[in-house]
Amino acid sequence: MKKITLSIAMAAMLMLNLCSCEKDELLFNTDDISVKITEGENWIHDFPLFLGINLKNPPQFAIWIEDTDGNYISTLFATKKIATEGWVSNKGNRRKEALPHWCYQRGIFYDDGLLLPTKEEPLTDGISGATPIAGIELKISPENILDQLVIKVEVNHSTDFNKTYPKNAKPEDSNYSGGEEGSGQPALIYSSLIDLSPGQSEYQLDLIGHSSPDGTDGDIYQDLSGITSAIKIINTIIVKIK
Amino acid sequence: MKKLVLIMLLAVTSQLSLFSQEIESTEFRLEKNAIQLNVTNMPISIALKTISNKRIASEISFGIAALNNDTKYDDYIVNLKLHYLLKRGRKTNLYTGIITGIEFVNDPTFDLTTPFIGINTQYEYFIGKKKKNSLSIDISYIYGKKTYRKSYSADWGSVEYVGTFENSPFWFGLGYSFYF
Repeated sequence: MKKITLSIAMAAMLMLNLCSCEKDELLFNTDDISVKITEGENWIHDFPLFLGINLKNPPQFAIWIEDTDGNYISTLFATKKIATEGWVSNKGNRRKEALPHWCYQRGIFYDDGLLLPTKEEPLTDGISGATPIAGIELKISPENILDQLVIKVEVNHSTDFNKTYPKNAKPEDSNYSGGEEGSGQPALIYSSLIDLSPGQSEYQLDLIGHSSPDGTDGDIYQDLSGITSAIKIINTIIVKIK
Repeated sequence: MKKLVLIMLLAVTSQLSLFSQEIESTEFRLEKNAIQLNVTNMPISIALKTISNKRIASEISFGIAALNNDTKYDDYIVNLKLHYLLKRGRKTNLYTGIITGIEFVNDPTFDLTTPFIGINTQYEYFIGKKKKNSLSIDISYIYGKKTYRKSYSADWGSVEYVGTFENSPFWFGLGYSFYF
């Protein structure tokens, strides 16, 4: 009897494993929009844990849409850590320097006066999910209320220090990025105007600048001279109208 | 990835054939039962272990784990191991076998179950003359992956995303067993 039970249990689990191999993909209809981020060579970054042990971390990023006047419409996707305050080993740092341009454009203040979603009030206006280990694709199905829209992406690694944005910068310095658990190189912002009327069907988002290093404002800084490895977090961001 | 799955399937098939030969050639009489506590880099689990009088052992366990990088032990794992006794010493047992189970991932943004399958090796060392207690080291290589679909709708339209949850491939564990 035990032999039969064991065999049935094993067979059931094996069947479940085979079922889990089914592929689940995005299916596009005419006029749907694909937003595809292809990872760059620095997509994965070493985050120091302790005793010289590093955690291989993918970046934090947000993808959102604005109208042509620069007004925020909606978040499409934000990574789980920033969307749910799911930081690990951040030593109390709420990481306001992580994606400040998205935070300011979104403009929702939380109980502690910051523009960052919290554990108690996670992001609800958009999708959030674990950061994929290699790129991401979204399907947007727009209603007929917009002729043009702007798609923006902001991306950032924590502790991504370099000579211009060092770990030991002081809060009063212009290159301060949140201290030892902060950003290092500031978040980068990519953008493109997408025309939904018939015509051009493929766009590439351009790197338009970086965010405030310490997250104190939502401005876009066009001088990229101090940015080094962060430029290779993302390879390309392609938007295709199907 | 296909190559990896193929290798895993071959390993599993060869293990199953060993088991089936053993089961066919012996009467499946029980010899020993044990409760085992396992601490691994993935789940912390409690298991019920059964060793037959020949070379077959099975283990069913329930554990808690932090599977989705939130450092909270709020996810659950149920797994089954089928072991073949490779070598029996005076105080030691060396097993190899297959492991399969289901991970129940609890996350604020999604909730999914992920089946997994893998191969496992266990080295067990008995303490004392009566062989009532043992310590063990476990190493497993696991394959488990699950896609999930999320969407959000508003007056401007909707957005959809297909994400993938992939579990950690290597499990290392230490265990304590009490035989009764």
